Amino acid sequence: MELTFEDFEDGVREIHLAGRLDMEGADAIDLRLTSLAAVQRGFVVLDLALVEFLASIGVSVILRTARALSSRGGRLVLLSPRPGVADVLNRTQIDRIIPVFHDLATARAAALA
Amino acid sequence: MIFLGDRTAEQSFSADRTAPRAATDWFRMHAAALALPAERLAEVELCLDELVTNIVRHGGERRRLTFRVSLRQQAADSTVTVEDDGPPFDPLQAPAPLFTASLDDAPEGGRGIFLIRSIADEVRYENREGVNCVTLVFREE
Repeated sequence: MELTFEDFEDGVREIHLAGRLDMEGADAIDLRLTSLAAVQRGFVVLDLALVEFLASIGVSVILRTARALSSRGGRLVLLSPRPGVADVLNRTQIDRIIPVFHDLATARAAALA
Repeated sequence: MIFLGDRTAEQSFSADRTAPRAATDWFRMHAAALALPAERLAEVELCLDELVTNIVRHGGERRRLTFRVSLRQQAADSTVTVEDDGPPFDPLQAPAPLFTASLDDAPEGGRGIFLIRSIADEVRYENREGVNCVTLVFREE
C-alpha cells in the first residue's frame, strides 16, 4: 500500500492511497496516516481512486483518522472510491458519517466547509 | 495445493499478518473453481479476507496456527470453507455492530463479520473436535 500527500495553500491536505487496504495495507499506512491526521484543524481529502480492495480493518483505519481530525476541529472526506470499495463503505454505513465525493473540487469544498 | 476435482481446490496457510493477502491471492488464482460472475467473486474474496483476518487477530499471533481454505462447487452452491484450530469462535454468535450517524459513536470493530453475513447467502459454523469450521455459501444473484 502506498501513501503520498500534498498540502495546499487553502489548508487542504490531499492524501492519496494506492493498493490493497487489507491487514498488510493497514499495517503499512496506519502510523503514517495517524501522524498526518494529528494536526489542528486538518482538512483532509482521502483519495481512494487507486485503492483496489477495502476490508473492514481498512474501514477502521479510515474511521480512526476521521475521528482524530474531528477531535481537533478538522474534517475528513473521501474521494472517488471504486465500485467495490464504495460497496464496503455503503454496507458498513461509513458513507453516512464520512462524506464521499466523486470529484475533487466538491470534495475539497466539503473538507473546508 | 491439492486439486480434488475439476471444481475443487484447497490450500493451507500460516496464520500470520501476511495470511489474509496470501489467502486472497490464492483465491484469485483458483476462483474459477466457483461458478460465479466476477463481481460476486470479488465479494467472496472480501469474505475470505475477513474470515482470515479474524483468525489472525483472535488466535494466530499467540502461537503457531495454520488454517485451511477449501473451495467447492456443488450444484448451484459455491462454498468457501475455512478451518482453523484457534480458540473457538462462532461468527454466527457475534453481535452486529450498532450503526450510528455519529462519528463519535461509531463502533471501532465488528464490521468484518457483519460484512460476511451481509454478503454470503449462508454462513455455517461447526466446532469439529476443537477445529473451527466456517462454511460460506454463495449463489449467483
